[in-house]
Amino acid sequence: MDPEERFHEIIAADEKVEPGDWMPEGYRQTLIRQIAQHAHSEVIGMQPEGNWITRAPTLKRKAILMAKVQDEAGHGLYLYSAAETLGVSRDELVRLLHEGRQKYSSIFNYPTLTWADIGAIGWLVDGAAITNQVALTRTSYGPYSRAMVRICKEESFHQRQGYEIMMVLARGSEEQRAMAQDALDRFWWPSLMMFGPHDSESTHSDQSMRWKIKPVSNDDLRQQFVDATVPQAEYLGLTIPDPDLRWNAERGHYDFGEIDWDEFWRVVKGHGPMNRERMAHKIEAWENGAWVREAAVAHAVKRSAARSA
Amino acid sequence: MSYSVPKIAGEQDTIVGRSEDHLWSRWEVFVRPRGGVTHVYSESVHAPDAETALLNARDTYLRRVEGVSLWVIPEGAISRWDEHQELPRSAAGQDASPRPLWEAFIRHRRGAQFLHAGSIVAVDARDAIARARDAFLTKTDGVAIWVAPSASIVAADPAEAEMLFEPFADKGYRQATYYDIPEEVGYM
Ligand SMILES: [Fe+2]
Ligand SMILES: [Fe+2]
Ligand SMILES: [Fe+2]
Repeated sequence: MDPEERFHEIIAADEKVEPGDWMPEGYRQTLIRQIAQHAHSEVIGMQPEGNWITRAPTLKRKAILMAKVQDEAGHGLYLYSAAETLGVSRDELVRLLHEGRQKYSSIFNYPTLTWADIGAIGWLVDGAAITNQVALTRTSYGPYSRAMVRICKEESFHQRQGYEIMMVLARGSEEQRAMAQDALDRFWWPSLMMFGPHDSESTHSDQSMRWKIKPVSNDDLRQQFVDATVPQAEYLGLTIPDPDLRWNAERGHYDFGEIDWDEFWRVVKGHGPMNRERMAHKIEAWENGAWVREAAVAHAVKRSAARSA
Repeated sequence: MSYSVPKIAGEQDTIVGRSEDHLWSRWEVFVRPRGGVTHVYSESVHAPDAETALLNARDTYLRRVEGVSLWVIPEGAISRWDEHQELPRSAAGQDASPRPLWEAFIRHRRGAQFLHAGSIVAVDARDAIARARDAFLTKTDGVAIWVAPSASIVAADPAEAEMLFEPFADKGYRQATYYDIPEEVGYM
């Protein structure tokens, strides 16, 4: 069978495309871009939480947060590994990120000001990520789908530890409750922005959905997230900062207000509160690690020379 | 997760190939989970040597999965066949050259991971693929085969098993069930 025909047959049958298969160049490029962005996001996403490891309120919280940040590093590596099956190298993708030619999720360009932000991130940011990633387990590219399955197994811990932090604060002193509310106020809208532009505005969405790279649209995922999250906020006794938020019995969904798209584009274009710091820190860490990477190679070469001598 | 970041000016449009400057080579990782009957392909890591590859594989792929055995194979040691290629002929009986041992890994269907199927004796990689096909596949199943010389596999030293597999055993807080979340807030 003609390989192009075979590709379309695989997509139509909801089977997985695997690395050796013929694929349209657009399919390959879309996947590289999406998987790389996803990988970069996991890696940059370590910074806002890593910022609180030394200041976590107890030893237990410190161990939990460290484990979570370590997971995010692992997620980045699963995804770089998946991207490499498409014929790019990990170093190439890291270079493109450092040169500002590839992006990561804008959510990580917001600062973590208080301990409650760590709760809000686990609950909302990982929550939004899970919504997206669960849908992506059905993506048509085998290695990406398997990376998503692996990641989803680990994300439940992330969200639950975050929500538990929020529960403790919401049941705590007046001050702690205020801290929890403030974190929700600051992270709510950026979390909704994680799903991207409206379907009507999103330029790659159509082709991506035809290729079954993206099985569910931005707006549908956003709605799913809102529907799941509102009762969780109610349970905490916290108020979602959206005066237009209300249950719509007819639709069977919550209606909610419009995202501030000016803010969205400002942050995407590099003018969020933390864009500069995040990239500077990432590049610095990479450069500071160069001697380790080189020394490890020198050591390996020396040892294998000694062995063959 | 930024699969939804829209394209903006200055973003790289198409990405061609691999940059040449990477220092650490790529290793394919296989894990046999506790209770599992065989080694399962677990994607790749980068490392300067086998020892580091094993450590990186542990930190990347065994943070929770309880492994009982870990293998790494240099990317270049694996020969790959899939349904788009003509199946090589077995070199059976063609010459008397020595026949090394090979390990065969099979992807039984699209979407599934490669599983270690067993060892075979073969003259070369093509022969090993042909023999693996005969030995481990029925007519209808199997969409891809990998073979690697058994000698190219680096297995975690059983003496170091504790160091490799135990560190995560007592970290219950890595499991979702560690957290008491009321059912009424929905699945989380
Ligand atoms: Fe993650
Ligand atoms: Fe996470
Ligand atoms: Fe993620």
